[in-house]
Amino acid sequence: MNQRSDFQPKIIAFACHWCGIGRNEINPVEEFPKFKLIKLLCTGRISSALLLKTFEKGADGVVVFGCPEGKCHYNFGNKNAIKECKLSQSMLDLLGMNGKRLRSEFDFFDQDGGLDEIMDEFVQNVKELGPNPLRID
Amino acid sequence: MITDIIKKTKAYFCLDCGKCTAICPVTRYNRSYSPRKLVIKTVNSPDGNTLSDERLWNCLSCMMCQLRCPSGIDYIEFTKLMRKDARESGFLGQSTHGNVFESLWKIMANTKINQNRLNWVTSDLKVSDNSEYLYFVGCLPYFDQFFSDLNAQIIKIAQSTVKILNFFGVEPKILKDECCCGHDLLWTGDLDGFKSLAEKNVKLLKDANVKYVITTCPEGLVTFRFDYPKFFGDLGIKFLHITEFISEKITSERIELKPLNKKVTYQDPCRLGRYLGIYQQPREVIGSIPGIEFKEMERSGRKSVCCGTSCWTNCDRYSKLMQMDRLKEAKSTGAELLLTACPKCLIHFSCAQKDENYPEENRIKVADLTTIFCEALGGI
Ligand code: SF4
Ligand code: SF4
Repeated sequence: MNQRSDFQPKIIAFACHWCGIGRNEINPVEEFPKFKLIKLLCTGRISSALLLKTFEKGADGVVVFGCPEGKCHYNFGNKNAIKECKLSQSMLDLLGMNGKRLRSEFDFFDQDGGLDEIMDEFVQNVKELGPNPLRID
Repeated sequence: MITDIIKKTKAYFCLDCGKCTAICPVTRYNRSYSPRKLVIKTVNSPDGNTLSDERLWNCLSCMMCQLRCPSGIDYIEFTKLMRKDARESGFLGQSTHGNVFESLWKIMANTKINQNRLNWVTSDLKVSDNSEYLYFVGCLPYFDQFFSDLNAQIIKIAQSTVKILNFFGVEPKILKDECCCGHDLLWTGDLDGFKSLAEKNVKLLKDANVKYVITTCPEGLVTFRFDYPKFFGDLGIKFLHITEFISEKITSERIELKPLNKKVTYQDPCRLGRYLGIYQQPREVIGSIPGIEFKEMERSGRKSVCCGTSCWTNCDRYSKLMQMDRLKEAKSTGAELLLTACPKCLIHFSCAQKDENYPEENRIKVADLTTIFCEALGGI
């Protein structure tokens, strides 16, 4: 396992097509230097099964970007995602993996920070938490 | 190898009589499912084309058919082994809840995981590191979180159990890192997954140095009693269901219980009843509570009907119909409370009643036996 100092977390970001991230890209998967972005048509696709699977496969951190409540393009997709994120966080806590490895951003529009700032902060947080115990290098 | 499965389960003895299909609760709703046809098809062409048959995943492994089969064919073992081969050939059933439980089990099985699963142990519950008894809680903390919207008070089963054990002078040991017993992976054909969970538990149980392990989950009990010894030999531990423990205590000790004025009925879980033969003990536990009026359902004991889904696989509209009919049967006894002794029965029957089309007149409260017995002892 990696030493904490040179630990480069594997981060997966799920983002809804409508929330303003990678909108002009056709690629469903985009590689950024610090994370991999997976685009969904709507965060309604997010389920605790999908999120836990990502951790099972070794992700150190997962972020979900979605539209603010009440502004879902399909009416209720993000409502479902918010619920599933909370549920997954509680499952991660039970598993002793720390729910903070999962972050959800559902008022991304309203924040000044922009994507880079949020991701830098999250990468830092995950570094402090250390590698996912299931990570195979 | 299919031919080995046929030999091992004596499937070649099949008389094509159809008794299994006639009694099968799945066939009653899903006419395309027939255990007879599956057996015959496999025996007639053991080249493996049954493996892709999705109906292989409809069986509830409820054991009903097996008790009727005149040729003594081990149909549930047949299902289990065929599913293993099917999985290896890339065929799977429909996993419910997006297969979240499989991820949970795979994570739990990892030896580097340090679970944080004991938040339910409140200060009034006495547990001890030096005890002859261990209480194996299993998946309850996870079910409690995952099914929180059912309001089924799942974790109360664990809390009530510790309370009951405390009442009888037992301060059980509980494990911080135990994981799922592996039952569902075993029965959906993932033998490697099962073994990785079981190995972790076996090590913990051996290190725990206890004489008795109490469970509140019949599936766990079946797995510990019958399946672990097949892979790991005798662990030198006696595995008991909580109702076995209580029924023994109430016959040897005089205890004072608070009366509960309720009409209740009881669902025999498949694993507890047909697999383990524990029919009497739960009824003794219910009968010991003063004020309770016990009503038996028409189909009870050996004839009891499964709660409709097993192993979080193929939960479909037929499962719902089965659950609705079973709940109707429970209600028609005049009971106001349906007791069960398996957390999954509790989850399935609570879930069925969340359906918007669920008929109001059939609504019945469902609870685990331990929580009711604990109430009679004075409650949590
Ligand atoms: S075990 Fe139960 S569900 Fe499976 S075929 Fe037999 S009776 Fe039907
Ligand atoms: S009851 Fe037994 S012998 Fe009869 S069809 Fe079913 S498996 Fe064959």
